[in-house]
Amino acid sequence: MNLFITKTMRYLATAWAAVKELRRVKLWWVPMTIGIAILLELLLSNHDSQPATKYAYYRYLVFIALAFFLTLAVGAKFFPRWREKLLHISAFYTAVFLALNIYHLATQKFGLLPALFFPSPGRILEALVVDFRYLIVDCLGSSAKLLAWGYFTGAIAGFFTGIAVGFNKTAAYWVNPLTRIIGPIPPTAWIPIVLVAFPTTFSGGAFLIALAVWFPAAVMTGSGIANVPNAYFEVSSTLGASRWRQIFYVGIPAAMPSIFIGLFTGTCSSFITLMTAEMLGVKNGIGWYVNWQREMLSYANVYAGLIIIAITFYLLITLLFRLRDVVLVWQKGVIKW
Amino acid sequence: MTTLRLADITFAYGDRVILEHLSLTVADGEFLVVLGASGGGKTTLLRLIAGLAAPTTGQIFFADEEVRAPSPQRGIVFQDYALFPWYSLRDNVALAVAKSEPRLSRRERRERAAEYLRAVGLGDAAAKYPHELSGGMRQRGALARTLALGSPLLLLDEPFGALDPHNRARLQNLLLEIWRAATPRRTVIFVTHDIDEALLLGDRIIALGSNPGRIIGEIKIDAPRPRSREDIITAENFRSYRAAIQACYCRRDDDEAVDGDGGGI
Ligand SMILES: Nc1ncnc2c1ncn2[C@@H]1O[C@H](COP(=O)(O)OP(=O)(O)O)[C@@H](O)[C@H]1O
Ligand SMILES: [Mg+2]
Repeated sequence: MNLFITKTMRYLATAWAAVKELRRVKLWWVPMTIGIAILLELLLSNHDSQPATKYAYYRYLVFIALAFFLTLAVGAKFFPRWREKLLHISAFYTAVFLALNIYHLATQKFGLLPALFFPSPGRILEALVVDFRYLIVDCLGSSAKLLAWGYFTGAIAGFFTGIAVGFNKTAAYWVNPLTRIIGPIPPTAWIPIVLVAFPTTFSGGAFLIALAVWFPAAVMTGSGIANVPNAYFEVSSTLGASRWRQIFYVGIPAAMPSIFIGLFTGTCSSFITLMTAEMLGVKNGIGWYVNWQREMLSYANVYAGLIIIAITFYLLITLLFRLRDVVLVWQKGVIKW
Repeated sequence: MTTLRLADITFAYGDRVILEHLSLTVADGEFLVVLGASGGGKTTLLRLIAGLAAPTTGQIFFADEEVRAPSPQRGIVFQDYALFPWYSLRDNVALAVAKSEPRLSRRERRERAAEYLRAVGLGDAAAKYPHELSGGMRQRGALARTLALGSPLLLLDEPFGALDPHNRARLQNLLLEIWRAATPRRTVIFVTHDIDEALLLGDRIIALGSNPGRIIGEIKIDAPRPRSREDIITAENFRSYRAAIQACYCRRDDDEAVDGDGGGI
């Protein structure tokens, strides 16, 4: 009995030492994880519930990823900046490839999930590759055009509504109740009316997206301006600023943080509106593609579409964050969100 | 020559009288210090002169014209710095330059702004934003901006109140230098609650009593400049000035034994 405990203790100590050793080689975590994924892929045979793909896309993916992260790990020996970056992202990408590996095993290797709704990573990749041109040029292009029209119309209209409401009492009197009544209605609730009232589904969709952005942009611009400390207007009036200068040099810059919050909210709700509009009425675009593939039960394509959507929206939001960082340098360190 | 004249002004927020029957004339190029306890109406007085508020009764004349609205002719440095946080120091000052020298190009304005900033010792910080600066630097920035307006009348509301003694002394010297170097001299109305500061800076000191605010005493300081800080504490003439100022507040305390607000000085 005593011997058993000593032995267990020794095993635990060895395991702990191994874990500590692992922490020392953090730079190699990702390549190691991918290496395990490759081994499993090569050693285990495929489950027959998943239809075969023409090419071994999953293998391509993991080998490319391996090459990439090996390069990074080797480069880290020479470039301190790479090392820092890699140390930072190491844990995250280890988790990513671990999750990918688990999903791959659960679908491709063991067939634990229904193959119809849960295609293997290889099949999703195949769908992405096969439909890539169509997804990007036709679907994404059409969505981008709709989103851009709606977003910029809504943002500009919201901005000017907000300024009018913030600076002009009469405008506030007439417009505020309107924003309060129309604003909270989810833009997608208008779809039944808009689809019959507008000449084309494109103009109807753009209108809905504009509505989705207009409301938060108008409200946040207006409240941003209304909350500018009066001292700033007083200062500018002692500096001899005219009414117009006060609007452009004091009111708008001071309201910028609030305006950006409005734009972020508007961006998110514009994405929701875009997807819903495409699924319910507009007959093209990435949202329509996802819905169409779902109806045809080709779930690999559904996932492919979702991946494109996720990447695109991620890039757009990142762009907006960058823009904010540039415009709001003056309050860096003051407000974080 | 008189440049500013307050003719029997009263100011009230609703029923609450803040300033009562206040009359005052300020000569061209004079450095006037307004001394008074917190909450005594000093800021209110400056806001009236700046044109940010209108007296309830009475009139204010500046250069023979009645004051009705703010004007770059009457530059003010606020108690809390009020630099625009969304502009760099240079752009804050450039806004004032745009008013005083409207014919300059954008680049020239920024160059002029940088000159004003160098004059207050902020040459290296011109590109910084207010949130990156210490309290003393912001206060100097606000001073530079108001100086850049080129106004013949400068209103300063406890501009050095929030600073440590070292920075405060430096900025007092700087202000005096700038004031004495200019020809013709600008008229300055400087508000403070600090007797030492008043004695160091003023040609004349107005003692303001509170509740309601009114002038309770006036002392002309004939000491030559530059004045040394040590003299202000120890020299005989300054002692008698100090005693005279304190006497104003004591007399008042005796008058209304219950409400001795002015005794805070
Ligand atoms: N907006 C306002 N409404 C009502 N009372 C005010 C307002 N602003 C200032 N006061 C009052 O006026 C008095 C004088 O204020 P202030 O001029 O700021 O004094 P000081 O600058 O001498 O400290 C204070 O008692 C203050 O409470
Ligand atoms: Mg005050």
